[in-house]
Amino acid sequence: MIRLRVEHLTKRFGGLVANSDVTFSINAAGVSAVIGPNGAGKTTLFNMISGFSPPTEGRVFFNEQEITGLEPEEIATRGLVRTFQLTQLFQNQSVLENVMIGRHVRTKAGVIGALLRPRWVRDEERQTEQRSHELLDLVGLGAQADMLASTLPYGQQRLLEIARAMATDPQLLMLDEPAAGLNHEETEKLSQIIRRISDLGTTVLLIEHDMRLVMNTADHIVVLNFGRKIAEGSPSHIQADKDVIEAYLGGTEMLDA
Amino acid sequence: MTNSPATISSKLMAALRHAPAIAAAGMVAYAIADGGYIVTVVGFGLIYTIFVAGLNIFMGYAGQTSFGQNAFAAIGAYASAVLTATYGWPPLLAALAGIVATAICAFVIGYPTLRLKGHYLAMATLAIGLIIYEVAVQWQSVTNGYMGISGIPALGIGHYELLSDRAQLIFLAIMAVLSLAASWLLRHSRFGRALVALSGSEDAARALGINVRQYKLTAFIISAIYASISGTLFVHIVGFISPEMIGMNMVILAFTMLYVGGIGTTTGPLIGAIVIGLLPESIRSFKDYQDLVYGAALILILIYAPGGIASLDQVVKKLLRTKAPAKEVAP
Ligand SMILES: Nc1ncnc2c1ncn2[C@@H]1O[C@H](COP(=O)(O)OP(=O)(O)O)[C@@H](O)[C@H]1O
Ligand SMILES: [Mg+2]
Repeated sequence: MIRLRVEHLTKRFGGLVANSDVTFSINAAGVSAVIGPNGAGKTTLFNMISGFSPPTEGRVFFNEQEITGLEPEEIATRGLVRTFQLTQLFQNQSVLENVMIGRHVRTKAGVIGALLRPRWVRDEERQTEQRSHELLDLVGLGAQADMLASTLPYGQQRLLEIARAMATDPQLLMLDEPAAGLNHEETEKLSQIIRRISDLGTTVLLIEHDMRLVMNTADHIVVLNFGRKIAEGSPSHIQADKDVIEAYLGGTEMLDA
Repeated sequence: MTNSPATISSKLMAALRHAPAIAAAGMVAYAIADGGYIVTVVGFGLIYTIFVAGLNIFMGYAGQTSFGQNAFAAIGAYASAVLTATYGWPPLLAALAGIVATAICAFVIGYPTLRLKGHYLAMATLAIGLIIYEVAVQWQSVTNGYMGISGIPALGIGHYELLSDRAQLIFLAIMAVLSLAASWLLRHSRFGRALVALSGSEDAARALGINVRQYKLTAFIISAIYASISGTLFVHIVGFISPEMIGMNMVILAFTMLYVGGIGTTTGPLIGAIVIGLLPESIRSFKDYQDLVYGAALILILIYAPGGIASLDQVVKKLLRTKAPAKEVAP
């Protein structure tokens, strides 16, 4: 089953072409990755898919339904949720509350429910809290639930952002450079978490610079360079690709890592 | 339970966290018991508690800015004044009509302006406050212009009226408590979480499926309803309304109360309204410098205690930490 399909996506900023005629599709099963040098247009591609920045040309299909031009919140409600290259946590809230906020699209209570607290609202609140604790355990932050998000070390902030996105029960989770700024050990742990998320049935699409993480974690790789797709395939296929090696100038060691 | 220094100090801290709110509530209780001149001052503080609690939902929880809340207090105040004094409606019905009118106005005003961000939103709301003031001055046939409307009856249902100062104060206290309770319930719910989310990062909120525009608008309307209720209470307690009473000075006062009390906290509005409400009493001799004192208080709070008096425990914690150089920190 195809989870995500993009057709001829192009994004122009004035004269600058950030993405040019990008077409690929992502299977529902497994972990996929978009790689490419800095400025290749990876984040722009994510922004177009997730509705933050409509494409100049081209179309996006999620579960074979077109989502081109929908608002980000509509796309998220349908089950496509992304994280940001620069973490966007709710810094002044607790770690637990950050994840609870992520339950928004899967819960219903409104203003009247908040004020009158009928039984179903109390049940919903309890379930929200319980599910959030489970997700914190999934990323190994169970013990930090009551801390202020801003007081977490950087690596844990990135994990919290993943737990928060997972709280929406996404069908497709898109992670923009989740390993940026993580040390070796943290990257290792992240890789395991991503695999577990995939095993639990969520499609994962990540943008990544860390080749070790990509080659260990991804089943399918799309390579961008100067906004164009230059290769696509399995990790071993990508590692052997002439264009890819060239794009990462002298980056052969990087790919071998 | 052991009484190790750690548990004692953590208990002290917990006590300190609630102390400001308890002190403010104590002041209200004292006024009810005393029944003297202080009743007027505390009553005024309680009406502002409601107004500021509404502002806090929009500014403290949702992180937006409105300089135009006086407009909504004005709609509630004038609806109650005109409908009861001129048309003889019962106060409760007039209040409800005021709330409905306010909510509609807030929707009509908020729908286009809440697309604006930051400074633009602030400027747009400022304009609304100024426009309503002008309407109150110019629409003489209804508002009686600068002269204002007098002879507004006391609050009451049927033949039962709240005539004594003490009865009125008790009623105001109940209304203030209900307002703060509603504010707390809203904050600790899916709705409140959506507000703090869009306050923290609109992009992150949208990526999680939160309809930012809709939640901002709802918060705006709720804060307007709070303002409307405070306006209604005000005219019934004072028995009079004129444009001067719903001008920008209301906004300046409410902002001072909100920041001094503690923006974003549930009890901050009560603390700020009582403290700032009592301030003119303690600085009577400086009457002419009142705005100066408000300004100075605001600046000092913003610099030294951005969480306001409600976050006193945080300030003390910070002081203790800097005073006692950390022994535990290993080299
Ligand atoms: N909002 C924008 N306005 C103008 N140029 C942009 C904008 N966003 C990205 N770009 C440009 O598009 C190109 C691709 O950027 P980006 O997608 O962030 O690359 P990557 O994520 O692969 O590092 C860069 O040259 C960048 O400067
Ligand atoms: Mg990027």
